[in-house]
Amino acid sequence: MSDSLARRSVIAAPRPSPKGRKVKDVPFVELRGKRIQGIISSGSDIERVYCAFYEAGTGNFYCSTNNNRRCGGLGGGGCKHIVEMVGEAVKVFGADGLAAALGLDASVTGNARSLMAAARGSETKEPASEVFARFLNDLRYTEMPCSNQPIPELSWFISG
Amino acid sequence: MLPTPLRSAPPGFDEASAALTALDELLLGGLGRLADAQKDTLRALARAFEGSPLGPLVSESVNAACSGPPQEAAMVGLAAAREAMQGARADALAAQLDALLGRPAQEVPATTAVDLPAEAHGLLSNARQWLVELGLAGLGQIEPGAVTAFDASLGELQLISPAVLRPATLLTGFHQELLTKLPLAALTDAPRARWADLWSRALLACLPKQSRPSLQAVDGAKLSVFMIEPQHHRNMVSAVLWGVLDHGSKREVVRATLSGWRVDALAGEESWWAVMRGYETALRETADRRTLVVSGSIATTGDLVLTKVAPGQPFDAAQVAAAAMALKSWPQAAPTDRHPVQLAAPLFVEGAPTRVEGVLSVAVGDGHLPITFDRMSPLQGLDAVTVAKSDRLWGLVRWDGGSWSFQPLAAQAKGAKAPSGPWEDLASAAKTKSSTLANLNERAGKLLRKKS
Repeated sequence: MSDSLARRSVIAAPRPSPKGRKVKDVPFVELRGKRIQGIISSGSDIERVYCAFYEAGTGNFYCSTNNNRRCGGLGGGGCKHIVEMVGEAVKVFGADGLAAALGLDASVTGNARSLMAAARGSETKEPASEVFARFLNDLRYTEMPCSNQPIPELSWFISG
Repeated sequence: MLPTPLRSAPPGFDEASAALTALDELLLGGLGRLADAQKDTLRALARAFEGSPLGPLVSESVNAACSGPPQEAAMVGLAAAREAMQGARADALAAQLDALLGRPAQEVPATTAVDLPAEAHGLLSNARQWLVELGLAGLGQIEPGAVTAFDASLGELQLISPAVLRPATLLTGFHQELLTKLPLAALTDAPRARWADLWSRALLACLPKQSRPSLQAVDGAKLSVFMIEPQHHRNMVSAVLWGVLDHGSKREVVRATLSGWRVDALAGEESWWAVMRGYETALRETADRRTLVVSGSIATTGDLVLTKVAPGQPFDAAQVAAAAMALKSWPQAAPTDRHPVQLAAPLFVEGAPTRVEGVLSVAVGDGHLPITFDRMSPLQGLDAVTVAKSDRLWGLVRWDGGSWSFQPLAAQAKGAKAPSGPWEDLASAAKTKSSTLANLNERAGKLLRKKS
């Protein structure tokens, strides 16, 4: 689609389906502002999840349990949860999609290591509650009622 | 070359498009601080509406916007003006479509005024206020913080009542899209026509009084679904079933929409699970290409609301689609929904698509329509290769970004036993359980209930 047509079009570009998503390991990942943030299941405790984010630009990151306990694996290059989360974000949004959203070059958005090398940030403690709330909000969608009513407004979305 | 009836813009169409573009430019930069030249643009808009039923509202809104930052009432007036122009363009395009398909124009669908439930009024007002703030800031320079500020209200609106499903669906899609796209590197990166559409439609959809197509009861009618259009955003999936409805002595083309909220991890063909969990029988029988015995109601727009569904007999999707082309009654937008994006004329084409000036196209009337893949959902069960090799196509005539196109929904190659489309994925979704949903439900069980 040419640039001028893209501006006149009212249809969003189709979003390709992610391949091989590991939902059990990373049940939630999203882009928000210039951040990738998500929820990563604990490998050892079924009752526990980790909440993590990585912010483009500053390069800052953090990972903690939903009860705000700092992830023991955190170091200068993040932790295995952040690596897993970025890996799933690449599947969902594509390296190009991430690059566009984060304002980075697609050559660095393909995996966590190159992404985190692009901007050297530091561990920045933030409460887990925000990401966790986003995850709980997302989970509600599995239980909300279905509808038999016409929704003409979806004609603007079609395949997003 | 396009068929003759579609070859040139209808009278007045380019002028309406130019007026829209001018208004969208203002929305992009924000209505909060208008320069003198921009105020002149608005005054020209008011003059264009003089003498029309919307004239006084538009003129009042323009005056308000020109004398300071506009409040909600003025923004609603400008959104109404914008939608009226889209409606006029849609009417002109619909007339071209009727000429192309050799069908008489239909009656305007009768509507009923509906009050959205009182318990939703506060949340709808919050939503309008949010949109007013976006309009003041400008759609091209929204701060991410202004988007996240709406999270909590939106979450409540989604839950409060099925009566606000339409605004809740639209706001969820718009909100999500803004979150993913912001911050923009430059003002001009905004998909301006799209966001202006979403903004104005959302503002009007959140008013407490709405107009809805009138309904008539249907009992024990026969529905033969000949094609399926998946429509979805990140958190909502619809199966739009296009079919022929036989009820009493009447036979008409209708569409039935079945939808469900989608958790983001549900992707690809698993997305059908979002709808399947509510409408398993309807989707399973549709997937097997069997008719449905249906009860519910039919709207004046040709939208069928299914409340009860029982299995019927096998049928041939090509025969039904071919018969549908000759019917005189087909779905159209309600008066307040008229917009070029809502134009969708079912078309069944026998014969292989051909390349016209390098673009894969279908023959219609005395010309060709280019096939668009811009709307191809990953749930469609189709790809460009299957479409190119087919010699039978089911789909919709669409209009977007200044041009006509054909959106394929199913394709069948010579010698193939059955058409390719969403049927296969639907059938397998009906047979298996979703492991993603099972995993998420397990997570929800462990975390959601524990917290509350």
